[in-house]
Amino acid sequence: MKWKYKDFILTELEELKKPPIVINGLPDVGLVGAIASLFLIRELKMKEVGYIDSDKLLPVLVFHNEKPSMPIRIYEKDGIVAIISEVAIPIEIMPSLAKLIVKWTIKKNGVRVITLGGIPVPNRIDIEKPKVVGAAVLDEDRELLRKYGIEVLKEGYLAGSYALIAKECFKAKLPCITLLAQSHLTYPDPGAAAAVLEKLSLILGVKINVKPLLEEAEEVRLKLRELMKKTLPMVKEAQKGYEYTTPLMYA
Amino acid sequence: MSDEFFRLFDRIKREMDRIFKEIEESFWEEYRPMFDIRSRCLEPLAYVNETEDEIIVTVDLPYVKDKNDIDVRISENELIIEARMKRPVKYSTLAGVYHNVSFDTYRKIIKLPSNIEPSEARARFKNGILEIRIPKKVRKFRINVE
Repeated sequence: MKWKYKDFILTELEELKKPPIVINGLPDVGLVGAIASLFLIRELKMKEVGYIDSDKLLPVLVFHNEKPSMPIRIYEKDGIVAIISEVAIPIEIMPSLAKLIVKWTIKKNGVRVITLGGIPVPNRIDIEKPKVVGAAVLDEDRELLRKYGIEVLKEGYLAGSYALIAKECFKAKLPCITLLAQSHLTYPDPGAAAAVLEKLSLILGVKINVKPLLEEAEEVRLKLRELMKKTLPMVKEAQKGYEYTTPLMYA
Repeated sequence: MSDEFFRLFDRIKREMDRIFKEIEESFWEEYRPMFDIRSRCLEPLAYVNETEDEIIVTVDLPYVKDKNDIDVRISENELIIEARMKRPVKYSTLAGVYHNVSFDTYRKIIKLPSNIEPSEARARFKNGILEIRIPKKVRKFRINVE
């Protein structure tokens, strides 16, 4: 089955058996979402069930264990779906990708979209355990965040890929949570990824042991240098500076 | 008149050479790999932030264990960072054909603006990140507000 939206085509290799919770780990600040989603896929032994492609993406094909893979892939296990990208996504085509992901989630009777990411803080070097905040589109999701002791974003902006996905969910009234950990802006941040996974674990009700991720942190930082370097110009274009801005209507 | 013309011509040529060199360097900055096979060196990720009174350089140094394994040299216009990893690393995904090459050192050269005080720079290494703060040469005068 194929789903098309503007520049993107989503190809399902297998039909989903349950209404999914869709987790996004697209490359962004500190590659937090990408690292967290890749780790989740490995820990839960998720299976590849589809991929997303576009002529507007960088002309690359990824090889893993000798086999070719599409750079943006979809994995699933027990109704948990994770979307990952091994390439930086140009911000100009991100709106189409966000729309495709949300429209596909609705077609699949999706329960909720959860985006994992980082919020850059200049003093990250001094933070041992990054704090996680959650932004939610619907009231019941804000209650859910509070129930699990996750601080709810009260005032502020989301920017970049997180914002685009949350915006589409808002328009479609689809439950959507964005979990953001304090992170490095320019360096892969496995510590921040572990922090969002701990909170995700509460929301999903699935045990995620982040110890191996923290043990492999140096290897992750080393291996993802190139992807981080290529993601940075797109992060800058995504107006991330807005996340430090106080919104106009503050009352 | 003729001498003046040639001096002007030389100046324009030098300026154009400088601009072309900068364009070439920025092009390669984006496309060149972050490793050097000949010297077995990796290029670390680095970030330069400029505030009103200092330049803050941070460098991500995974696998570097101790501050004594880091060598930082600074001049008026350049910062050279070298660091030794606690063990050589090999990674199979590194551009395919280079998967048997091991690396044990980082090296990064960062161009600095000219208005700095290199002798007053200070550095710290925490959680695998090297942070170097270089004060700017700032002459400040207080102006009385009447």
